Amino acid sequence: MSDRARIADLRDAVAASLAAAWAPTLPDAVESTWLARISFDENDEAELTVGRHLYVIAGGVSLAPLTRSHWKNGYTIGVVFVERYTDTDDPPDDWIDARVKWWERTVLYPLCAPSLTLAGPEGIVTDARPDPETPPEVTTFVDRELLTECKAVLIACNFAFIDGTDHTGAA
Amino acid sequence: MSEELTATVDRVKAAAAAHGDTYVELPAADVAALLDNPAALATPWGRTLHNLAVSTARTPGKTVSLHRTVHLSPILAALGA
Repeated sequence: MSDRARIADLRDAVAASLAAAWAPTLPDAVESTWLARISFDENDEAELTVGRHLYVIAGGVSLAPLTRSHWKNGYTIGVVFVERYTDTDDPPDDWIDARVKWWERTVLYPLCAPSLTLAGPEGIVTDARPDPETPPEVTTFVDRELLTECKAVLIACNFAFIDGTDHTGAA
Repeated sequence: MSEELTATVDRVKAAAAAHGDTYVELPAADVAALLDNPAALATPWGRTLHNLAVSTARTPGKTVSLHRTVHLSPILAALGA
């Protein structure tokens, strides 16, 4: 039996879905993780975040009754988009526009498409879908301080997914 | 839609309408019949309720208890009902 948490399996499925749609090449990456390690410290090249990154993070779990024997599971999956402008001048508006447009087309709309179904790589989650009753919540949108201080675009958004299991958590 | 399925849909819609968006008990056989359709099965809760209804429907008179009738909406919509 897998040691993977149910929400971690869903998180990995979301990351796989994004990676399949985007097909990033180094230094760009999709990372499925419990903690997004982002650094804009140019004095520490080993830790510096380079390229375009999507961090997929497990944000929370909730349960509600579906039937007398089954739970309606709700999951919050956070996706953080980060990219740092590397030229010496300030990031121009069209560079920012292009990043936001890419995020809309690659992350925002695909992850709340009603037709999306997700199965985790460990087979724990088999039929998760965007929650039709909970729209995505953008928690940080082009953080102005990061943009001016670090020349980086950062957008963080939470997506709600649902599936059903019996009271033991089995599908 | 077959006459039999139309009658099942009508029974389920009537039961749901009588309960508003609250707890409703539906004959397991009716739920299984609704979900014996790929479009209905592909909706949220479709597979979960199908598995539950099919296993429960083996015993005559058994019901599936939905906590919110709104969970039926995508299934009925998928059937064009």
